[in-house]
Amino acid sequence: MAARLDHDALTLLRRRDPRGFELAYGAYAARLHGFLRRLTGRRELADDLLQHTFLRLAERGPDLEPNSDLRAWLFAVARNAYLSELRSARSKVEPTAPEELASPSPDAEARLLLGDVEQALAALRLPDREILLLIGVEELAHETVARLLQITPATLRQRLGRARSRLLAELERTPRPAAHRARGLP
Amino acid sequence: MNERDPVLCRLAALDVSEPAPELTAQIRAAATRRLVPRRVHPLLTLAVVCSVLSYLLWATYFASALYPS
Repeated sequence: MAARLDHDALTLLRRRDPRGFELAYGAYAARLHGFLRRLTGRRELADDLLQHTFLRLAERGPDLEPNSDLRAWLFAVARNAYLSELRSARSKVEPTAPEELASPSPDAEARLLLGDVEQALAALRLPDREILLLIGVEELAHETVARLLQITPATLRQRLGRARSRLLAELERTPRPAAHRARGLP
Repeated sequence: MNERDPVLCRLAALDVSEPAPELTAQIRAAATRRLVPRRVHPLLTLAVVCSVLSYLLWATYFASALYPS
């Protein structure tokens, strides 16, 4: 399904047809924005990086092969843009006070539980956070993520295991919200 | 691993984050400008061609005046 969408979007983009861009934006903008918000912890920066990523798609899309993995390409561009941003003088400091990342949800209890995960994710170091975001949240294939991070699949498995353990440790350390304590929730 | 690992399952349940409509409109407009080449008015093209031809004619005339046969 995603491969078909990628193929259609890239075929249109190769003809410089804006409908190809619309297809790609409709399919991946929200996911990419969520990834960038969680990766950077800053909404404004996530907005800038999202814009950078999709404008790069408009520029380079006509040269991409129709059978390319568009989703992986977009995440790679977004991640590299963030790393460049971190390296540049404009943004040297990692966020210390992450925003509330969960979108409004009708189920308040579920939101609180997800809020714990968001906080724990934000407290992790960037290498751990990005691997958990790409594999856990975005559910990209391990081979794709290994290529994206330029590491071997074996290294990826090791790093994923470590990141997972650190996330669990953070979750145990994160103070439970008062509402949970009152209801006896974990 | 993704299907069975409870930690990764919890991560997969996190919400996506819709970009603001203004940002979306801005990105779409900028992307369309990059994708669709700007059309040049035919008269502008004609003016450029005429000016180039005029310059070449003048240059030929000027050069021939320098070396009279």
